[in-house]
Amino acid sequence: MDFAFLILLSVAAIKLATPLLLAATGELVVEKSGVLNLGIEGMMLIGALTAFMMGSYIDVERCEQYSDLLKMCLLGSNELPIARYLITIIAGGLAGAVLSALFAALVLIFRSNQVATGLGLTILGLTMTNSLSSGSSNLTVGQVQHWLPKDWSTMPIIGPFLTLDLLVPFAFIAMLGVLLVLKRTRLGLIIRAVGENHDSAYTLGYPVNLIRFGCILFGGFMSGVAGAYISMIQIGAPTWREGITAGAGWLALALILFGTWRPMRVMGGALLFGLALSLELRLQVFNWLPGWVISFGLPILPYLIPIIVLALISADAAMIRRNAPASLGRSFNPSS
Amino acid sequence: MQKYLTALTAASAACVMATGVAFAEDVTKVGFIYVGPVEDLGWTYRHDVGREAIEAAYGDKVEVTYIESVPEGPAAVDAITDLAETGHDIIFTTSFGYMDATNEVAAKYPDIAFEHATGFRRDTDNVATYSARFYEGRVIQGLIAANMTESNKIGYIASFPIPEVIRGINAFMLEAQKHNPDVEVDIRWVFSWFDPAREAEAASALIDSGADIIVQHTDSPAAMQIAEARGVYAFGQASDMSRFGPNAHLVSIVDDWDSYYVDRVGEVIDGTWTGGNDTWWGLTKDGMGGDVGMVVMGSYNEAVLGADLLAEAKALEAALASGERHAFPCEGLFKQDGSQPEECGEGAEHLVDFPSLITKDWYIAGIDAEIPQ
Repeated sequence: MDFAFLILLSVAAIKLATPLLLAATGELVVEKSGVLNLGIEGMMLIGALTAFMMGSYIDVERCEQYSDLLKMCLLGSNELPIARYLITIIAGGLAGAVLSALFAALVLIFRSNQVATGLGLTILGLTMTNSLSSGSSNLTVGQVQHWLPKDWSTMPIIGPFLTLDLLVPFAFIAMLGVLLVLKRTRLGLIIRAVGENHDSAYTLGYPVNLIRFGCILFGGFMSGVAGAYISMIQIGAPTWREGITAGAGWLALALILFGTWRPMRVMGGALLFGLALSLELRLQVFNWLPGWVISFGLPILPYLIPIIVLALISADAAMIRRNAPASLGRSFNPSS
Repeated sequence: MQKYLTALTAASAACVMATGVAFAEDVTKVGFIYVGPVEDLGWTYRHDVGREAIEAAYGDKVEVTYIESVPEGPAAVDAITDLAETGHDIIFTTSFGYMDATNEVAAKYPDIAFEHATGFRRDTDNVATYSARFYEGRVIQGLIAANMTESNKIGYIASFPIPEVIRGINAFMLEAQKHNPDVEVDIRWVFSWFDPAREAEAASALIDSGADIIVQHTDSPAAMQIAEARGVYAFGQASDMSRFGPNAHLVSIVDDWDSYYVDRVGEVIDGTWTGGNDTWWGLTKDGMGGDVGMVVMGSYNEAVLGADLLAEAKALEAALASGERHAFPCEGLFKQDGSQPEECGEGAEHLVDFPSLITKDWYIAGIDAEIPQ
């Protein structure tokens, strides 16, 4: 294990941490406003599929060229120009936001149970994407755009980092932005006030449900973008398969608790989870590993680490109490 | 899921109709169980091409249904039973992991013909197994990789530690070592047949560790696309994957099930189908230069290979097809512990397809790794 290996490992960890961080950034704001949305996985899936379909759709020429051969539409071009890139990613985000609006309507207007509704959202996202994608395109011949000159990637040390997609710095900037907004702005103060005590915030004249609605939409958008990142960028070529997010939404949810609602800790946690995910296949390089470690030990690693850390955090109940928004998960009824 | 339900609904509707006119109709119903989605562009896609060949060959005389993305293991029992219950005359289960489920269901439906791909259990007379000598293609890949690699490190993306996969790794390395004694293989197990995200991660991890050629025994073109993006070479698997990596692609091992499927369904229609047998076709059906079998080498990349290596690869392909060469000659074949396989001790020139190759649980010497349990 030399220095170059560690550099490449860091790049892989950041690459896999990005969707977790994107989704967790959205969910952090949602939870800070006092709403628990367990539907991240479902919103990510709808975002992933929408981005993928949009990518195929806006490349009509290629689509027709290949459809005879493969009976499917492919996002063909070797390049994703910036406009197409933005359209596909934003489409994914908007799809996530639309699904989250459904959640918002149910929990804010009809005051349904947030846990049950969130789980329902995940199931809805999973089944909806499965049926929508059935019989449609699955894999494409496209390549991910390198935004920086390709020979920059050969630079020592920083080169490999320059191959990462634009959404990677965006994810980190978004989380820093959220940190700034929550800590330093009036809007952040209001969001936190609504999350801590919605009755007091309402008495002070803040539109609790409207603020929560906005936060839920933001969360949905970020989850959708996270899904779009997975289907359009992370795999190296635009790709769709049923359940492609493979639990990333749940890991993002665990990240919030892991970071005890603190943006910088959530960011650190995302990198740790990303590292665990990337280590699974990379540790197989050690050929002295016994067979059972390869077949059993390594695959559970990315899920074992969060469980252990969460167990340790939960052991200190005071820590959770200190940081959790006091109104988290409680419905707000202005007439009561 | 949607397609699964549609297939079932269609199948049950057809079943109701069939009982109504049971004696009037003579449509043969053929069912397929797929491990991945039809659009995986690899393994399942090629079986689906075989399904279309059946329809093309027999037209109205057959009715073909399939259920895709069926999990391997006990869960497959339900899907196979569904096909059996809805009046299918012959059912193809197209992945190794359906072995126990296929035999379990077959025991309950003695009048239905079951065909299980790549397995070796035929508990009852109505089960036949079939597989391709994919390892003949691996031999050619071994020759090419040994000549093309500069880092002498080959990355191998493996799915599950089952005989077919182990056999492929062994065949590949046995030939590669002959042409380049310094060549090493780095095997990464992804424990999935079709998971583009994990396959891509495995390819990235291999390239990060210095591999400059990627071999895959998984079904999606994700690894080929990563190889293309990272500027290394790769081999296509199950279907021709050249369009996913115009510069990276060296050659694909293409599965061709068409003629086997057409033959076997034809036998069911004629009433001459028998079970209990095991069919293995390689580059040729008989391995002696006869008709084209189940393995086709697709799209040699001449621009990358160069004329000399291409000629050498094609000569090797011809030798394997005619039976002049075997994938596992005893000469120079040693297990990791240095011993020769038992069959080689009895004066055999090479290992035989059955049973020795099917029960393989060892790597050849020169592979520095352990097989996962």
